[in-house]
Amino acid sequence: MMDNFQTKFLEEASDLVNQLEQALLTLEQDTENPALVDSIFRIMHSLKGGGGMFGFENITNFTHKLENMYDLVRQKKLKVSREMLDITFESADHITSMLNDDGSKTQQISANEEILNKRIDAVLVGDTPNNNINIVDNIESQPLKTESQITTYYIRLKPYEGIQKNGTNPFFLLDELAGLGKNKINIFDSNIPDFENFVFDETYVWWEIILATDKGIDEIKDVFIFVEDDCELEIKEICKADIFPMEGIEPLLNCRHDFPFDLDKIKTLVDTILALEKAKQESNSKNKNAGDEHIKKFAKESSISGIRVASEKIDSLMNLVSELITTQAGLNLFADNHKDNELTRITENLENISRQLRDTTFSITLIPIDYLVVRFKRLVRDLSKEVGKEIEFEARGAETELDKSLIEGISEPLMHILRNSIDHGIETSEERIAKGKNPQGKIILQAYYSGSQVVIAVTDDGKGMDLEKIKQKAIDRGLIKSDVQLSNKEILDLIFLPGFSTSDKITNISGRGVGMDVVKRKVSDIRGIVSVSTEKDEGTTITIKLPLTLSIIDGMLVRISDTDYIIPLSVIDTIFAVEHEKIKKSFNNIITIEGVQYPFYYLRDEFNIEGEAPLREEIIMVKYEDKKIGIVVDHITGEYQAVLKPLGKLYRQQDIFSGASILGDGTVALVVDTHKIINQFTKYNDN
Amino acid sequence: MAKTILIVDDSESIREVVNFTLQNAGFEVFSAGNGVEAQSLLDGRNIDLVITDLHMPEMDGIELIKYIRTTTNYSRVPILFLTTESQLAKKIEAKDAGATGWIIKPFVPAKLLAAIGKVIR
Repeated sequence: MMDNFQTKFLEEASDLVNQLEQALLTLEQDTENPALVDSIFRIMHSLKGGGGMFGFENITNFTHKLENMYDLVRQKKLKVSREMLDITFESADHITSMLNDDGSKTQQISANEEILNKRIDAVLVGDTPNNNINIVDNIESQPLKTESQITTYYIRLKPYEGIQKNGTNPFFLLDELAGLGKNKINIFDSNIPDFENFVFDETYVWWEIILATDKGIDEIKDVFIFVEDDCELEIKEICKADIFPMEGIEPLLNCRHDFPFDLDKIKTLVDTILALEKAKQESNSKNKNAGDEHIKKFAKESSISGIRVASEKIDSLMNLVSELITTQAGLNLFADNHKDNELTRITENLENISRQLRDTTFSITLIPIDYLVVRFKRLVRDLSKEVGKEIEFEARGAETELDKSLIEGISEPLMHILRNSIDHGIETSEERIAKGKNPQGKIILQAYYSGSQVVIAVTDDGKGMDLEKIKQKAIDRGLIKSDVQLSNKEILDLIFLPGFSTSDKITNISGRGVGMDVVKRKVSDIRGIVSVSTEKDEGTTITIKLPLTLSIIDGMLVRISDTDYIIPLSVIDTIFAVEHEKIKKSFNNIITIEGVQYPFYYLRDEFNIEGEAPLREEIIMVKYEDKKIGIVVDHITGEYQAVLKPLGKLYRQQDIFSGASILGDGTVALVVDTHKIINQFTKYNDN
Repeated sequence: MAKTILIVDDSESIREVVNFTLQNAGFEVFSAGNGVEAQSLLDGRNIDLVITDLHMPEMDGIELIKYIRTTTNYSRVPILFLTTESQLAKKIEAKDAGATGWIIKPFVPAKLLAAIGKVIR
C-alpha cells in the first residue's frame, strides 16, 4: 500500500518542484508579489507534509526550514532577497536529488543540505546592510533600529540590606531600567531569612538583568546614581547587538529561580552568531558571485543543538526522579515535625530543585500531538480528494503532550482510523445532501488529559456503523454463531476481531487486510485501550486511551474522614469553604456561591463514608468540559507532588481512581479522576 | 490619588518654580520656608516625598533630614535634597544623614521630574 503512495508522491513531488521553479522565476521579476510568495509557501508545505507521510523525513526536515523562511516573508518580517532566491533555486535542485536518491549519493546530499541549511539560517538571523533583507517590525510598523545601534548589557544589582532605610525602593530602579529597552530580569531570593529573623524594610533579594538598549552605558549608570554607595553594582557589555532575536538565545535567557544567567554560554552563542553574520557580510561584499567560496566557509561551522540519548537512560532517569520525589515527601514531613528553621529552609530549597528537576526530566521525553497532526491533515486532504469526498479535518488539543515512544506507536493506528473514516465513514456529498447533512464531512481529532491517561478520540460525522451488518458479517465469517445474543457493545467489539472487514469491496485506502484488529493490537502494544461508539447517520467515534508515562503530577491533597485523596491540580479552578448546613439544605445538588449556581457532588455520600461531617467543608470547583462542577471534601491539606502508582488487580474494574500515591508518612492516598467521577455519578443519578 | 510632595527652601522663587513644575506634573505640593515650618507641615499629613534645600535659617536641611528619619511615620519616606556641583562634602553628609538622592541646582523641570521618578511612582 505504502509503495503505491510513495510512487504517487514522487510524481507529485517532482511536479511541485517544477511549480516551485516557475514560481521562483516569476518572483525574481516581481519580488513584492504576495500571491507568488503564498504559492511558494504552499509548495513547501505540500512537500513537507507529503515527505513526512511517505518516508522522506529528510525532505520534511529540509522544506520545513524553507517554509519558515517564506512564512516570515508572508508575515512581512522578511523581504525577498537575491540570496533567498538563490537558496531556493539551489534547494529545488537539492529536493530533486533527494527524491531521486537511490542511496548512492546520500553523503553528497547531506553535505549539500548542511551548506544550504547554514545559508537559510543566516538569512533567518541576519539583518545585514549588505544583503537586501530588511526585518520589518510588525507591531510598530516601523523598521527596527539596526542592531549595531543596540548594545546588550549584563547588570547585576545587589543592594545592601539597609538600602530602604534611606527611602530608596529598589523596584523603582528596576522599573526605570526596564524602561530603557528589552530586558530579562532574574531574581535571587535565597537570602530571605526565616520569619523570626525577617526585618520588614531590609532588602534580601538581588537581581540580574540582561538589557538590550540603544542608550549608552552612562544612562544605565544614571539609573543607579542615588544608590551607588548602597549596593553592589556591576554593568558589563555583552555585545554591540540586540541578543534577544538571536536564534537559540531564548533557553539561555529563561529565568530560573536562583540560577544565575550563564554568561559564558550566552557570550559563546552570541559570538558565534555575530561571527557568522560578519563572515557573511564580508563574503557578500567581496564578491556575490563567488558563492562556492562562502558556502565552504559556512559548511565548516557546526554547532550541536541536541544530543541523542538511549531511551533506557531516560527511563532510569525518570525512575530516579520518581524515587527522589517520594523521598522528598518523606523529608518534608520530617521537617514539618521537627520545627527547625534551618532544616525547613534546606528542605524547601531542595523541594524547589526536585520540582525543577522533575519538570525538566519530563519535558525531555514529551512531544506535542501537533507533531502528528500535520501529517494527518495532509492525509485527510489527499485521501478525501482521491475518493471524491469533501472533508474538513480539525484537531483539538494538539498541544497535548505525549511520550515520544507513544507518539511513534500511535501514529499508525490513528492513520488507519482516519483512513477508515474517510473511506467508509463519511458519505459522499450527494448522499450527505440527501440526508440533509452539511455536504462537507468533518473529522475531529481530539486529545486531552484525563487523570493519568491521555485520551485521543477521532470523531467523524459520517453514516455510522450498521450493527446488523456487522453482526451478519461476523456470522458469515464464522467468527460467531448465528444464534448468539449480543449487546450493542458486544457487536461493536466484533470489529476488533482478527480478519473482520465490513467493506464489501477492498478499496485502495483502507481495506487491504489491515483491519481494526491491527489497530487494537498496535494500541495494546503501548498499553492503550481502543473503544468505539457509533450512531446511525450521526457518525462514529473511536477513542484511544493511553496511560501517561507522566507518572508524577501536581496534586491537591484533600481529606475526607480519615482518608487522603489527591485531586490533580490541573483540573482545579477555585476552592470555596462552605458551611455543612448549606450543603445539607441544598436542593438537587445545586449550590449557590457568590451568586453563581454550581452543581456539586458530595463525596461523603457518593463514597458512602459514614460518620460526622465537619461543620465547615471545602468545595473544590473542577473544570469539566466547559463547566465548573463542585466536589465537596472535608478538608484541604495542601499542594502535593504525587508519584502515581497503578492500583492493584482488584481495582481494575473501577475507573474513578486513576492511581495511588504514597505519602511522606507511608500512608496511601488515592488519586481521583474528577472527569470520571462526574461522568459516572451523572450517569448513575440520571438512571 | 495624587502623590504629595513637600518642598522646603528658604528662597521663595525656587519654591515657586518647583511648586509650578510639580503641580503641572500632577502632584499635590506643600511648601515650607525652613525646617521648623516643614516639621509642622509634616505633622498630621501623609507626605510621599520631601525635597529640601540644605542651607536654610532656623533648622537647616541636614537637621531636617535627621529629624524626619527619626519620626515614626516618615522614617522611610524618600528625601531629595537640592545641592550644587561644588558641594561634594555636603552631599556625603546629607546622604549619611539619611537622604535618598539629590537634585543639582540649577535644574530644568525635566531634570527635577527625572530625579523624582527615581524615588516615587
